[in-house]
This record gives sequence, C-alpha cells and structure tokens, in this order.
Amino acid sequence: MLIDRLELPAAFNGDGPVSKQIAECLRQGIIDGLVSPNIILPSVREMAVQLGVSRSTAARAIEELSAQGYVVAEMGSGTKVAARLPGELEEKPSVRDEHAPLKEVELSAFARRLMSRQASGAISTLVSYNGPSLKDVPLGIWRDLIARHCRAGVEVDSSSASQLSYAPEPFGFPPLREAYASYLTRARAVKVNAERLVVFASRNLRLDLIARLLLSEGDLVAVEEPGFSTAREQLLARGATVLPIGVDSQGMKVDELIAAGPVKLIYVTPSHQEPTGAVLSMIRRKQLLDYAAKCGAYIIEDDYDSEFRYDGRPLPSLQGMDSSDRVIYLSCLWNVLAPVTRLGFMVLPAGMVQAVHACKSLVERDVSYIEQAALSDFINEGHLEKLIRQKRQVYASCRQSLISKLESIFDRQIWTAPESAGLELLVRFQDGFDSQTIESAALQSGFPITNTSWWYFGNPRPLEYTISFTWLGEEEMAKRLEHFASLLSA
Amino acid sequence: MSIAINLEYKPYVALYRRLSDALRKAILEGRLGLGEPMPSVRDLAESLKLSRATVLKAYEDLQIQGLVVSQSGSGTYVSSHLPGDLGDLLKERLQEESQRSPASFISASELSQTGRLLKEVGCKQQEEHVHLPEIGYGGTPVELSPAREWKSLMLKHCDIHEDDQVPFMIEPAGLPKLRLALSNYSKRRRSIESSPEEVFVFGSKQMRMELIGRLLLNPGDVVAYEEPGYPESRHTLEALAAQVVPVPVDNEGIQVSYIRRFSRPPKLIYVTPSHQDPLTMVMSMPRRQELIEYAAAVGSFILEDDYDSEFRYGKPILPSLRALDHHDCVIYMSSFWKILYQSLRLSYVIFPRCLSQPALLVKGYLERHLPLIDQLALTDLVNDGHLEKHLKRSQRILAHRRQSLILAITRHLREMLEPLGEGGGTHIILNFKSGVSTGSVSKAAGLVGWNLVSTDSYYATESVEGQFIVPFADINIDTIDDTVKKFAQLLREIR
Repeated sequence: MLIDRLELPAAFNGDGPVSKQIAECLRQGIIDGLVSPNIILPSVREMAVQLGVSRSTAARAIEELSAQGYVVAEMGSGTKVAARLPGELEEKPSVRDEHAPLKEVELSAFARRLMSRQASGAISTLVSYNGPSLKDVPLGIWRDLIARHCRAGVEVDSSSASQLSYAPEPFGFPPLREAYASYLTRARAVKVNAERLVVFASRNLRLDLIARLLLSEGDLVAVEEPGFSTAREQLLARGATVLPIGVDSQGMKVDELIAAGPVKLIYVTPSHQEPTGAVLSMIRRKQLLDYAAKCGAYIIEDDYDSEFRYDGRPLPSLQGMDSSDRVIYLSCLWNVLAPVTRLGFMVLPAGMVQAVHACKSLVERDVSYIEQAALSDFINEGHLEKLIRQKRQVYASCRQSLISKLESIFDRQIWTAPESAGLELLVRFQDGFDSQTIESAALQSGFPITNTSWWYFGNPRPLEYTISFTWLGEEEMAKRLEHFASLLSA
Repeated sequence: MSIAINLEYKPYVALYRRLSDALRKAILEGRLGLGEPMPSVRDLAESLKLSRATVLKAYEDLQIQGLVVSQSGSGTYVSSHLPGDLGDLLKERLQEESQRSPASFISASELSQTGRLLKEVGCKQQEEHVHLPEIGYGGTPVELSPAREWKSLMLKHCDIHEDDQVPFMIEPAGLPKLRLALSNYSKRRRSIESSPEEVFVFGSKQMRMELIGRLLLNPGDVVAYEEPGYPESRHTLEALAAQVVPVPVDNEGIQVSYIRRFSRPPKLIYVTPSHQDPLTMVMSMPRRQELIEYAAAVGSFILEDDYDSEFRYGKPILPSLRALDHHDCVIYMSSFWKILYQSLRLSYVIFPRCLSQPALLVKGYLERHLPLIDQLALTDLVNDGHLEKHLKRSQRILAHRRQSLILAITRHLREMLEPLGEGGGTHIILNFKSGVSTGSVSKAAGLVGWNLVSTDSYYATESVEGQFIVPFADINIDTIDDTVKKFAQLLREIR
C-alpha cells in the first residue's frame, strides 16, 4: 500500500491547509524514493478514506503536486508519479558559488565596444559625484510639492485623481513641458514651444536616441577636446568615428572643424565648455551655425551647467540663434536640484519632432508623474529661478575665495582659468610639481581636486586639474586647501 | 526670475538704452509674456553686473514707450496691452511661431539605417495604439494601491540627510539597499536566489527590454517570442533589428518543440510563465524543465517576464524559471505595474551572474540616473512588509471581483462563449464562439461601457476572431451583472 510507505504524521495539524501538508508528505516521499516513478497513485476516493480527510482535500493535494510536476494525470489510467522529477532541477547548491568561473557570453557589438573601452581604462562604471551641496536644495519646498501631488493618489474623489489614470505620454507631462519651455525661452533665449520639448527620465538616453537616429557606423562626429567623456563614449559605442577638435579661451576652434571637412554631427557645450569653462564666442557661434547649415550637419548643444555664470553674461543659447533648424538642445537641472530630480530635457528642431515622437515610446514611455508634477509647480511658482539666483551668489563667493586662497598660497606656481562658470575651477600647476605628489596629497587631505585626464580623448595635459568648490562650504574648503598645500610643500 | 539678455555693443549708444532695446526685443518676441512681472531691478542689475541706476533708467525708458507699467509696491509688469500695432505684431508673431510647420521634415536619407527602422517600428506602434485606446487596461484602481503608505514614505524621504552620502554616488543599477531589499523580496515571493549585484533597478519599464536587447542582440539575431505576446516588448526588439519569431503557446505555455525546429537557435526566448500575457495560462512544471534544458543546451538566454504574477486564485504558485535555473541562463524581470502603477514607475531585472558585469556597463550608458526619493521609499515599502500586506488585502478584493465577473458571464453569455480558462492576474480571457465577430463585440461593449480589449495587437501573425481580454481589477461588483446582461442582449441584436 502506497500510503503505508510514507511517513505520515498522526494528524495533519501542522502549518497551513491540510491539503498542503498532504502534498508536502507525498512530495517528500517521492523525492526520497519511497514512491518510485511511474507508480499509479490511489484514486482520490481511496486516498481520502485512507488518510481520513475529505475528498476535496485529497483532490487539492493531488492537484498541487500535479501543478508542481511531481505527478502526471493520464486519461483513463489515473494519476502517476512523474517519470522525471522536478526535484532534479531544484537541487540547487544551497550556497551559490560566487567564485565559479563565469559562463562565456556572446554580447552584442555595442556591449563589446563598451567592454573594450572599459578594459582599456577609458571608462569606469562607478563615479563619485561632487555636485552641489545638499543644503542648498530647498527640500522643504520640494516636500510640500510632493505632498500636494501624492494626495491625488490618496483622495480618490479629488479631481486630480484622473491625472493618475493611465495615459502614455512619451514626450512627458504636458504642464511640465509648458513650464520648462517658458523657462528656457525666458532664461536661455531658446526658441521653443511645448510641442518641441521632450522630457527624459534618463538624461543619457537623449544622446543615445539621437545617435541611433542619425549615426551609421563610421559616421564622423566632432567633439570638443578636452570634453565631456560620457558623451564621447556614447558616440564611440554607437560606432561613430570621433573627431576631437581643440578648445581655447573662445571655445571650440571652429576653424579646425571647418578645415576637417564635413561631419554628420557636432557635440558642443557653448555656454560652458567643460572642463575649461570657456564660452563659445559670438563670431564662432555664427561660423558654426553656417558650417552646419552648409554641410547638413546637426549640432547637439549641451547646455549643462549654463545656470552658473559669475561674470554677468548669461549668454543666450546657440539654439536661439539658429535659423536653419539644425540645433538639438539639451538641458537639465542636475546641478540645481540634484538629487531630488534627475529629469533631462531636449528641444528638437521642428523637422525632427515627428520622428522622435515615434521612437521615444519604444525606449522610454513612462516618466514618474509625481516628480513631473512637482517640478512643474516648482518652476511655475518661481522657486527655480530664485534658487538659481541664490546659488549663483553663494557659488560666486566660494569660487572667489578659492581663487584668492590659491593665489596667496601658490603665488605664480599655479594658473587658474579666467573663464568663470560652472561648479568647478580649472587649474594648472607649473612645471616642477609632480602629479603623484599632488594626487596623494589630495587623497590625504580630502581636497576635492581631480586630474582632467578623463576629459581627453587623446593625450591628457599633464598637471591640469579641476577643483570642485561648491559642496564643502568656504570654511571647510579653506581648511582642506591649507592641509593640501602643507602636504605638497613637505 | 532670470532672463538671457545679449547686450549688443553699439558705439555711442548709452548702456541703459542698449538694455531697454534688448528688453523691448524680449517682450516683442514673447519671451516676457504680457501682464507678467519683469525681473526685479536688483536681480537684473546683479545678473548683468550693471548698476541699479542703469536698470532703473532702462525700465523708465520702457515705461515711456508703454511697454511696461510700474505698480507701486509690487514692482514692474509687462503691459497687458501693447501700444499701437505692437500688440498685433506680437500676436501675429506668436501665432506664426505656434503654427510654423518645419521647413522640411528630416528625410529618410538623413537618418541612419537603425534610425529608419526605429522610426518605422515606432510609427507602427503608434498606429496600433490608435486601435487600442484601452491600452491602459488592467492598471490598478487607486483604492487597490497602497497609495497612502506610498505618500507617507515619499514624504519621509524628502528629508534627505546631509550626512547621507547616497546622493553623491552615481549608482546606475540602483541604490544598494534597494537592490538588497528586492533580492530578499524575490526570494520570499518567488524563491529566487540572487545576490544584490544581480538586481538592477530601472526607471521605466521599456528600458529593461531596451537594455537587454542592446546587451545581447546584433541585427539579425533570432528571438523566440510567445505568440500571442505582449506587443510593446516585441516592438522594442524589432526596432533593434532582431528577427522576432512568433512561437505558439498551448495549455502548458510556449511550445519548446517548435523552437527546436528553428534552423538557428534563438539568442533570446521571451516568455511569461507565471501568467501568459494575454492568455493567462501558467507554464507547466515539465515545460519549465524542458525550456531551461533546451536553453542551456543551445546557449540561449530565457527572458522571464514575471508580469502580473502577484495574484492567483485557487491554483498554487509555481517557482519562477529563475529559481529553477542552475545554468545561469534566465533573465528575470518584474515591475510594480499591477500594484502601484499610478505613482511608482520603477521596475527591476535580476540578471544571471554571467551578465551582471556587462549589464552594469551598458546601464551606465543608457540609464545612469534613477530617482532617489522613489528608491528610498520603495526600499521601505518592501522591507517593512507594507507591500506584502497590501498584496494580501488586494488578493481578497480581486478574488471577489473576479468571482462576480465570472458569475455574470456564466449567467448571461454562456451559450456564446467557449469554456473559460483558468489563470490568475487581473484579467480573464473570453473566446466567443465562431459566428461572433470581433467588430460586433467591440461595438456592443462600447455601447454598454464594458471594458473589453481585443487581443488583436498581441498577435504577430493572424489574430484570433472574437478573443477578448476582460480586466476585472476596476469593475463594480454591484453593476457588473447588469452591464453583462445588457451587453448580451445588445450582442444578440447586433449579430
């Protein structure tokens, strides 16, 4: 008798439903080999009698085993123990072997390119971020706005609840697009209406999407040298041929670009070149736009960090000067509102709106409603521009005090870039310093100085560094600088 | 308020005049809207590094021209009516701007080959959406989502602490503590053994599919895809130039025997084992074994979309494919779509160990930044047991709604339907008997306001006539019987 072979408890009074307990006993018996494969189980009726349970309980136990693959019901011949047990699959080692050699995987060409750039040390996966200080972010205001828009989800009857029903808006929440478009028009002289503005949850996706749309393998793309490495690596991973164009105090050397011949795409940061801080001059802007129109190239204007200029010249955007529909404009609020919002924005040339609209929902259709609604109010109620103004004052003073400290300590042994924008200061040490000493002194003192090598596609410039001056506060900064300097002179 | 102003250098023109010209231009271009406040004198002076007197003089100049008005106590505003024909000029300009159609749309020759494909698939999807306005079907109604808990957690985490180093590290795969929480959660609910390094948090659902495709697929690579199957993920794969081959499903799930006949084994096999989307059946245990063994033998990856697996009615839940896999070949993905869609768009993927390093690299290039507060709140929601408590409560309500729907259907529609299938989740499938057309069902449903969604767009090949998805998460148990009854009457008349 099958049931006799199983170690059945005197009564089924353990945890959970009785049917589950019976199924578990049978399962254990099957796994332990007490019941061999292909043996026909007693009928539900018999089993109910033998076990002293109701028929439906017995039936449920069998059903559960059958769903788990331990038994197989066959028409006409009753229920059998399965020939091959799922247990053979379930026998996983209880502790996973984290050191077992990894399986060889055939990755896509895109992933392989990224892997090989990483192996060569050109990119790293984890970046610590010395951004704006958290104390400058108006968390209280943000909290109120989040509360306002979370409420819609709680109060079912409120009229805004309808906002929470599903409506795919691949270009973003319309009120946010309105608000941001009018902010850009005002503050950056961008020619934009809400239809041409796209909200991205992921900022990196903006360049990726444009690169996918426009670039075939081997297409020429001009970038600034030195310049933003993440963008450069994205273009390389796409298979583009990157053409580095030098930068001086007037920004990208457009002459060099024109001499190089036609390209498909140009990536520039005209309002604040990183890491040099240079602003693209008016003359070069005009040259660049003419060149793009003539050779049919598109320009990506990354307006990152444009909020923070300290010399009173918030230059209008390149996009605002463009009359031939060639500029794709990128903007974000990371340096103003990190880490509470990470949204990115893109303003499209009118001719590209249709094409991008069709693509966006394939890669990113849903962006958090609450975050978007809170940000629209943050802009519309004037908090954004007030915050930028306040921060600009604070950062200008941080920057100035850093420069005077550097001058008083190092005198002429260190050169500081005169262009003043952004959250970092570019400096160059005179010959005679040694980069290893500088870097170990930085590490020991916690002075936020980083060498600029990762900005360069070609050979980096020795003894060139950026100092991030916004997140420590003036006092702490001065203290660490003194420590750093004393370590250097020792 | 900040405003971008370019003070053009003009010889012999006073500075204040150059400023007032620039501001006049900004008003006439509509950058400073009618009736809106002008930047304060102090702000403008500060941002342009001009003296306040200069700015003040420029404002006076504008006032004389009738372009701005000064209201004592509250500052200077742009006039709400511009003098003379200036107002009409502006109106015309603005109208022109908004109606301006582009000189030319970007031409196909300007797009790359991948770009053309991306656009083509995107347009196809948009067209399908036109026929599928109910695409939002099955989303959780607010009363079945833990919206209250979510709100308090979000507010709690708006107070980010200064000493919290979290914001200053960029974590493309998500906050480490959230990855740990999800790893534990999927172990509790789905028996998955994973290390937190294999768990990746995503900001949008599509991005999971996009990343997996970008990581593994080259143009022309074969993907085996359930037929019928979720259309949007299929589109994302098609846009990557993958060769997506529909593989029919039967009562036990995807037919592995069919995949075996491919001339080239697939790189990826997309399945929804816990709740076939849309047909709702559960993949049987033997089929799960067969699939894993097949994939391990030919070196394919299985993409397990654990969509809508939270709710089951009667039938026991089976371990996920990822829990059964010891060949390191299952990619598991899940989201909170059916729980908290309205507020929470985060989703996650658990990669096999062999893919987690390259996936991290690709993630850093596609989706580097994730919302911090949402991640902190989700960590608590998962760890504090709110989520599971909530699921338990929803399960009861959903079972009740499902029961009343099935009852109403059995009562009024039985003779027009094939037998109902089983299955969990938040919808059931109706197969109307032959002779009942998709069109007439849709028409009758529309007239009585019953949310029936045709499965047409789930089929890559020929669709099945008269097959419908019936979501029940948001039905009203008091009126559903009446609705179905009216529907049945109407359908008989139309037919």
